[in-house]
Amino acid sequence: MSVAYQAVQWNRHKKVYDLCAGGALLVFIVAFVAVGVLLHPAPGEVAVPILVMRALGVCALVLLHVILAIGPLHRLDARFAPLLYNRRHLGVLFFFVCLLHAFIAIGFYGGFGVQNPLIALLGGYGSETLTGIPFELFGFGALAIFFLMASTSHDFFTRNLTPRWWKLLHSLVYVAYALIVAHVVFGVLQTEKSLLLPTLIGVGVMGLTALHLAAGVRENSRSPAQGAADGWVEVGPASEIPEGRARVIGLENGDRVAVYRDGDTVRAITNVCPHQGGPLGEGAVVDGCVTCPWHGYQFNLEDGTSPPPYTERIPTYDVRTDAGVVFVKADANEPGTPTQGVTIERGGAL
Amino acid sequence: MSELYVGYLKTPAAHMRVIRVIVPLLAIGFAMLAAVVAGSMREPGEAVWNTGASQQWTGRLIDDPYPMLLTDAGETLLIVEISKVGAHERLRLLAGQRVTLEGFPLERDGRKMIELLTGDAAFVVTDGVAGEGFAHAERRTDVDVVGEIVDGKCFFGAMKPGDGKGHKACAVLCIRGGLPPMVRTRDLTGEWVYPLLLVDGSSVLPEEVLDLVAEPVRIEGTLGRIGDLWVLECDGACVRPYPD
Repeated sequence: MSVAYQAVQWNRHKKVYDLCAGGALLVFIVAFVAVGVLLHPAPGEVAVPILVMRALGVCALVLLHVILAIGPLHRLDARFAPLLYNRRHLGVLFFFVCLLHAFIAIGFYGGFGVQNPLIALLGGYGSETLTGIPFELFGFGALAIFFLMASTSHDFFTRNLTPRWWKLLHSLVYVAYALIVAHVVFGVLQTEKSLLLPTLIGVGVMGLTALHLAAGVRENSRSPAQGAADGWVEVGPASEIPEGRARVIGLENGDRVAVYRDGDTVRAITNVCPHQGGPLGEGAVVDGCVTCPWHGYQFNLEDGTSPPPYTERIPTYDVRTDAGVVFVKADANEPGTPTQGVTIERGGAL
Repeated sequence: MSELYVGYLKTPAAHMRVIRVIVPLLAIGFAMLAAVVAGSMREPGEAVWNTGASQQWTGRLIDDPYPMLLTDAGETLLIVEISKVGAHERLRLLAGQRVTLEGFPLERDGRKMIELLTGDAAFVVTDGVAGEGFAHAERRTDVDVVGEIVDGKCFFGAMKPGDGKGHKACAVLCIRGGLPPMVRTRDLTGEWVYPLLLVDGSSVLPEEVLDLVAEPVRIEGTLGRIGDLWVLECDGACVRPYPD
């Protein structure tokens, strides 16, 4: 959270995170090149630029799987939150790995010839066969998406593009992932005879699919969409809402509501953090504010505003009780609207 | 219920335990994965591009169908320029003469190629009679071969690996630039042979054949020789994807 934009709001966790990510990247490249040189000595060696380009390509592929796995892993087990916290930096690092891979490919394969290197690599040949499809185009398409994502990863763009469009733009990562898989399948897999790479790709695709499905199923089972009676939706007994935590319910219009209990009071806010769409209902009340589990954005339960000097506002919902059961109004209040909430007795009874 | 992890606050114990397990596991997994994938790469083959010290070769220069030197030692050496460019331009006026060329050798499976030095010092017209040793496509034989069209320079050591789909854009660029298209195939004894490919009498390949470079192809044509170099001639329609 900030009142003024900064390039990076460093804190100790971000520094440690970036050091670990950079270290892992370095370990990967060094291990790949070292083993490549040792196992393929001259005169049967792989050219060093190609070796480095491949190391970067495989590293990018692995990083992409890690990045895409972090989200659903965190939805399934909140203890993975530290991996999620600085995922943006991991994404930007990943983009530069892809960019370097592309630079070497363009320079080495497309350079030194009678055509512009980029044209030589991307438009050099057509497709006579299915396996002859120019795989470089898939990689370039993915790189363009990664560029868009990396260059709009700052909070400045989150706010100015609006969270909805920002989220939509960054959802293109799944299109880019499909393009990357095609880049590999129609590229290196057409040449390499080892079954290792196709196996790894298959495991990666299936693993990510399973993780996302599991996270989606869990999300829906936690908070299935409920119909409203007279404009109110049943949440459940107040006693079932843990202290300082929320119960999330789905509305028929697709919105989700986080119904929080803070001490003796129950109030409701939107489940969507305006920062990056994080699930507020999976956060907790910290220092009197609902705190988003993704990046720690905070909001007052009373009116959905961020504590001063911050200026974010989120929609609130009216709540009422009936025989110990909490109900939430299906229509959201304007962002920043104060609500009364309902008071419960210690132990959860109304 | 466990504490909430907030990046700018002290990390809860439950999250620290996960970090202490996950981070080392990821680092070890990264290193092992890198090593295993690097170890699984196919061998690019033993090809040598010796740019350490230039060498000289003397013989008769011909430029049709492709610049090559019929050496006094009885070898037929294709000639290329530095970068991805053929040597037609510089050597055209020397065709038919006895010359001494200086450059760097490229070699694969006993077959050599010359990468010509830059500048005028790369070739000298030499005294003596140019030998007759040019017997273009004498005793041609009809053949039906399966193999891969490669650009000779990369495949002979300038790029390693210099074949396959990953190298396709480079191979097409090289052949467009005038480097020799060659067919990587096996002879009847199973040995690798690399005949120079001529389509409609030229080493400049038409677009429909360029699209098939670096892929498995079947070529019906005639096989002849220029000195000790095999030459495979066909028309464009006789180069097809393999299997069909």
